[in-house]
This record gives sequence, C-alpha cells and structure tokens, in this order.
Amino acid sequence: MTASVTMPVPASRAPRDLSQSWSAERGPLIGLALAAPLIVLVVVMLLYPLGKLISIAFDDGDGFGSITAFFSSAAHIRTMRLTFVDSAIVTLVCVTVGSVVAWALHTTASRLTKAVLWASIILPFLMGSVIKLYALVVLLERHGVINRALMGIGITDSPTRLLYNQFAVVLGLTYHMLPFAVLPLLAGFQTISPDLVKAAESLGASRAYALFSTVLPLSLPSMLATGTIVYIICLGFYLTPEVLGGPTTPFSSSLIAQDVFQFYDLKSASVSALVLLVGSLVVVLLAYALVGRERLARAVAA
Amino acid sequence: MRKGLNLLGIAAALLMAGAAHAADAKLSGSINVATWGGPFTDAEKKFFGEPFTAETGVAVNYLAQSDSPTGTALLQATSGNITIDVVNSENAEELNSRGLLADFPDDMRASLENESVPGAVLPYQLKLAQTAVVIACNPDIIKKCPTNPAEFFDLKGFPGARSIVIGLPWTVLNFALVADGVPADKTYPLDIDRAVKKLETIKGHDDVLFTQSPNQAQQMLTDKEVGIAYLPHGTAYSVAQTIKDLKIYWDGATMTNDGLVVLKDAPNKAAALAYVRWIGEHAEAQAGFTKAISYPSPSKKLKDLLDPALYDALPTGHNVAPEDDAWLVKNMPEVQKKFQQFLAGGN
Repeated sequence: MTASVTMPVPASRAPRDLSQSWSAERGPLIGLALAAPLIVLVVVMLLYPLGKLISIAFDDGDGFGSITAFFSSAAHIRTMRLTFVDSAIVTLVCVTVGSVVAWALHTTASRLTKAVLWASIILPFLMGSVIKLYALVVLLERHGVINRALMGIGITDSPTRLLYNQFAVVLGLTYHMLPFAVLPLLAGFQTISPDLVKAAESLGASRAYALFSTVLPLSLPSMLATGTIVYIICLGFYLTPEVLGGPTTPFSSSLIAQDVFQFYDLKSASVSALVLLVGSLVVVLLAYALVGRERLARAVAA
Repeated sequence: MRKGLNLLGIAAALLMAGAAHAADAKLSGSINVATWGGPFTDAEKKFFGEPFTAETGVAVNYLAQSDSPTGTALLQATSGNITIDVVNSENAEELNSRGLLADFPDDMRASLENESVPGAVLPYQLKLAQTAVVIACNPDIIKKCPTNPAEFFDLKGFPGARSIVIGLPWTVLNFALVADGVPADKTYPLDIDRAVKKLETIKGHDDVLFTQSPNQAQQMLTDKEVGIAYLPHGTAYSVAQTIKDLKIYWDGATMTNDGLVVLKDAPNKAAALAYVRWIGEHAEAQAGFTKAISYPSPSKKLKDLLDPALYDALPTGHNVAPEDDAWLVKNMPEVQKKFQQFLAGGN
C-alpha cells in the first residue's frame, strides 16, 4: 500500500502565460496608495512642523541674522558645547561598558551570570525615568549614600559636591542610555563566534590581544552604529540635565523650553532646534559614511 | 483672513456682552481656567470652582500648565485658537500689553474694589496668589543665618550651602541689587548689569546652587542638601511644616503681581467674568484658599478670617514693595536674555 502511493502529476500542461502571472511589483499607483497613510503621517507630523520651524527661524527676512544672533550668544554657544561634548562622553562610556557587558552576555555559559546581567540591563530599562533620577539624587546628595560611604571610609572629611554639575549629568545619562547600547551591541556580537578568540589564543595570542585582533575589527561597525544611536538620543535629553545638572549646566532642550515657555521667544527656540537638528544630521551622515547604510539600519532595527 | 477673524471676534464679543446684559443669571456651559496644577489647583477647585458651579451651573475646568499659564494663553492667542477663558496669570501685564485681556464691567469693578484691599483690583485683573521671594534658613545645620540679601551674598561671613530659585529671573536681579546696597523700594527700574555683576561674585562657588523650580529648592532644604534658600514664600511655608525651626526673612523682598484675568476672546466670556467676580465677592472662600496654600487673596476681611501665624506668612502681611510690571514688560526680553547669558554662559 505505502509503496504504491503516487502523486497525480498532470502529464502535460500548457506553459503559463508569464504576463498574467503574479508579480511582486504591483505598479506605482497601488504602491503609492498603500504607502499613503505613512506619507500623510510624515507630511503632517514631520514635514509641516519642520517647514514651520524653518519659517519661524528665518521670519524677519534678515536671512541669516537669527543664526548670527544665535552664534554670538555666549549662553547658546556654551549650551551647544555642553550638549555635544557631554553626549560624546556618554556615548564613549556607554559603548565601552556596553561592549563588555554584551560580550559577557554573549559568551558566558553560567546561567546565573546571564540572569544577573540581563536583570541589570532590563530593570533600569523598564523603570520610569523619574524614579531613576530620584534614585541618583538619593545616592549623590550631600548627605546621600555615596558621600556617607566616602566619609565613613575616611576618603573625605566633608561631603563632596556630586550633584548639580556636569559629572552628575553624564552619570545620569550613561545610566539611562546603557540598555540602548547593550541591546544592539549584543545583536552585533551574536554574529561573531567566540571560537575565533579561542583560535587566536591557540595561535599564541594573549586573551586581550585575541579579543583585540578578532572581535574588535568584526564588531566595529555595530559599535559605530550603536554609538550613533546613543549619541543622537542623548542630544535631545531634557529631564536628566535639568534635574541632575540644574540651570548652570543646561542642554539645548532646556534652553529651548526656556525660550518657549518663559521668554515666549519662538524664533530663538526654532533656531536652537534647527542647530540641534543639523548637528544630529551631521552625526548620522558621518555614521553612514563610516559604517555603511545597511549595517546601520540593521543595528538600529536590533 | 485675520480681519475676518477680528470681525468674528467683535461680533462674538458684542453678542456676549448683549447676553451678559440681558440676563446675568443665564450663565451656562463651562469655562476653562489656565492654572498651575498641584495643591494650587486642588485649593481653587475646592474653594472657588465647586461652589461657583453649584451656584451658577457653569462647569469649571482647570488646565494645569505648571510652567506658565500665561505662556499657554499667549501661545493660544498667537495660533488664533483660544479655548482658555480665565488665566491665573503670573504676568498679566504681558497679556494686557498685547491687548488680549477683557476689561471688567464698571459695576463688577466697583464691587470688587469695595471688597478688596487697595491695589488689588486693576481694570482687567483681580490680584490673587501674589508671590514674594524670601530668604529661608534652617538653623539646625546653619550656625549663622543670613537675615538679608547682603548677608546672603556674604559667603565667608555666613558659610553654608544655599540655593537660589531662578524661575522668576527679575526677582533674582532685584535680590542682587538689594544685596549691593540699593534700597528695596528703589530697585526699579532694575539696573540689570549691576545686578548681574553682583551675581557673578557668587556664581560657580561650591556653596551656591541655582535651581529652576521652587519644588527642587524645597527638596534640597528638606534633604539638607542646602541650609539656606532664596525661594517663594509659599514654598518656604511648606518647608516650615517639616522643618519647624525654619527661619524666614522678608528683608529686601518684592511682590509679584499674579492674579486672575479674563481673555478678551474667551469662548465663554460672560461666565468667565462671573467666575472672577464670584471669587472677589466671597471672602470666606478666599480665606479657605489662602489657608490651603498660603498664597494671598485680595479680600479686606482676610486678616480677621486667618490665624495670625498664617497671615504673617503672606507677603500682604509684610511691608513688601510690588514689582513695576509696566517696566518689566517693556524690558522683559532684555532681563531674560541677560539672565540666561549670566546663567548658561561663562564657565
């Protein structure tokens, strides 16, 4: 019985007319119609406000007058500098620390290590930013946990100022951004076999040199892509610099908020927003040039 | 287009004025009040909104704009789509100078003036919840408390961490001028450059913290991050509920001109005016509001209705000079830009 089962195969059939066959290309009109909701969304939510932003910024017809005014203001210059420099430091720390954590997650065989690492990444990720900030305030205060510990051990006699400065802002942002670094880095590392390190070691390389000569070159694109994501998210931060830094170490977004809500100066706010936007675009373009488009897209998708 | 809108606005205003004349009792619908949120709004809801609704049938919606109710009203006026009727404005003159406010009808104004302390009623504003910025000091952690602006700026003579609330920049400039020797009632017109120069002398010092919001200063005082603060009197009063020994000094303080205003193009102007009038004519309700949040209200009877300790915590209970709003509005851009420059610029 089993041996005699045969599929009914039609002996002869006229070859199909290829012009009638299904094709993945459905023609430009249908494509447009299908994409219409997204196009409408982008136009209404992105292009229109962006156009409005530009028109407000260059309102007076004095051309680049508003831009010149922006760059001749010491407050704006310093704020931009703080925003871009602090974000760069955070990015560097996040990618470095994130790489170590992600590589450990990728290679460890211990379930406990894995669980602890995942928990330490996912828990802060799920926590509200206000709670995270409050936790940091409690830790860093003049009479906070860290200062008491430092005085208890005898490293300092009087409390050190840890809060309301650039250090606190960078620390807070790093804490916030670390999961955003670990997750894409892990996705990148998963394409690299840990055996490569073993092979290098078997050829006589030290552990450090083995990592340096195999993993680093292979993961460089994903590190650059991750750095780009972290950097661009950092540039727009508002709450963390505001709470941990205070008004003397502002990020651009604080100045924009001040312009809109306190000074009623939409023009100045628009110029700040544009400068920030152009700055972020430059970073993205640089990343494109360095990493290549599809690798960046893959890292962002992860 | 704009002209059309204006005509529409005028027509609507005429219609509403007519309606208000025809029958004052025929109020209906609801009004939107742009306000501060938090305990402030809890108090106004309980003592003003709810009884007003019970009496008139007009529902009152409070829209919390914790940063600046005035800013929201201005943005709405700029966009041409006004949904706010009443503003708890921290800067009524700013709105007035742009012609956005409704004048109170004569009979309403007469009645409000009759009920309120002198200076509390302007043609378009009923002053309410004015703020004075004061020095608070916690003697538990500060050995020698600064009692006036000059001592506050003397970091060596009066050591200890201190925070300065900068939400209202001109009050900080005023404070610096008094510290520099200008008598408190003669600080206006503000000499901005002199004030900034005085502020530069303490900026960047480890003992000096600038904070954007009063709430942050409150948190710093209660957490003992600082022992001294320059902060709004209402916040100082809240801190005094936890730190019982807190000392409050009024020397050199000036008072803001906060108050209720009605927008000229308010969607429900008649009811909005009635709401303001209702508040002005109910001294008990005002006392309840003041008791709840320790911000002043305009009634003449307030002194008799409150206990002396609370009355003493209000700027109206002290000899505090009001700010010169007309000057401030004219010079606000300069005040703010120079202050922003001072704060965020430099190193």
